[in-house]
Amino acid sequence: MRKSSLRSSVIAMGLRGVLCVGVAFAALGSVGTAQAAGPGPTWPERFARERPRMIRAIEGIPGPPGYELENHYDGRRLVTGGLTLAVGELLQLVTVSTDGVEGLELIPCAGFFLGDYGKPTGGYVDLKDLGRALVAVPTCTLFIIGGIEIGRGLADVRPVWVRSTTQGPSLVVTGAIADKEATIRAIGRF
Amino acid sequence: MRSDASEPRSGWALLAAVLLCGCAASDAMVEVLTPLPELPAAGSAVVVFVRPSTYAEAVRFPILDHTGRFLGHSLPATWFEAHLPAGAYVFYAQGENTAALRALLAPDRTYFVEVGPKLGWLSPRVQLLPIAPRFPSWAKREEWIAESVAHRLEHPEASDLEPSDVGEILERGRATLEGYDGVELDRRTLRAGDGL
Repeated sequence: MRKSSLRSSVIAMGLRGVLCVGVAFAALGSVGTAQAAGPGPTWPERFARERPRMIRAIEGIPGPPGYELENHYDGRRLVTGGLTLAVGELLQLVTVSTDGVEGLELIPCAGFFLGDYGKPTGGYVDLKDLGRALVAVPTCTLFIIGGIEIGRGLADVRPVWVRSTTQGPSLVVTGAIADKEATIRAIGRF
Repeated sequence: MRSDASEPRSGWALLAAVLLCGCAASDAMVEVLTPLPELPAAGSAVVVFVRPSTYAEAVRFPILDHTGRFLGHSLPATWFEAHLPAGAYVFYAQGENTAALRALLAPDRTYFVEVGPKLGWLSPRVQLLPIAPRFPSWAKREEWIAESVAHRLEHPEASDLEPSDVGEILERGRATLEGYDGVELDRRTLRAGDGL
């Protein structure tokens, strides 16, 4: 039983390995096809000549020298989501501030029903609470939409190779050795 | 675009895919793993249509030239290239409106065009904008290409455009172009020197 489960896990690992290698070869093959389609220069030659500021990172293909891998995200979604949340929060702040603002009332969505919400006012129908509950519906919808937009923006990962703009700081040491000037140049990252 | 009653199943499948996934799809285009656009062949030019925005993600915009040739579907956060003989062209994109762009393509050059979706009344509108050194979008060109997925027109027959659709797009596109004044026309013109 134990041996068979071990064997199946080994087979699964093997299949996964074959799949990974297959995907890597497929990626390499596709790029190779794109490269071979033009009779011109190879990718390294083009990168060296054109020196693009940014290149799409393709899984399994190492980036050109002098480039750093970065993850970019869908900026439009992040901005839209952030603005939607901000509008929702502002709407909530205006709504709950009728009798002053308490910290709990600033909690997105839930804050509508906290703080001075539900406190007896003497009337049969509390119009203030009713108004807060009514405004809570579209405002909570804004929070949900904003949250989804930000989530989708962060989920849309776009790995790119970015050309390094900063050169490592260099340290130059100059001294006289046996009547001859010697220069030692050390370049590295600090 | 095509209202083909003989394929209701594929229509429902497409609708379901759009509702579930929320993103546009095209049978005409395939994804390719390439970091940069191909270089133009001798005597010809390459036009890269890049749609950097994910706005209107459920909508694909068909792009045609002035002869009615289907060049590809522009999908959100994607780019594709068209290899064309050098010469004068007009490109059209179909959304709620019909966008038009004039282009004078010099041989051995690569040109870039932004496909920009806009808010429409009932469905998203589209605009075709030249990416040229005289516009701010020139500086964003490499970033847009790097952050977008490369596509290639693999099945032009899957454009979903009927000949009557093509005729209508060309007619509406010509009217769009005629409606531009001098400044606006310049903003919709790709000059020969705008390519790399």
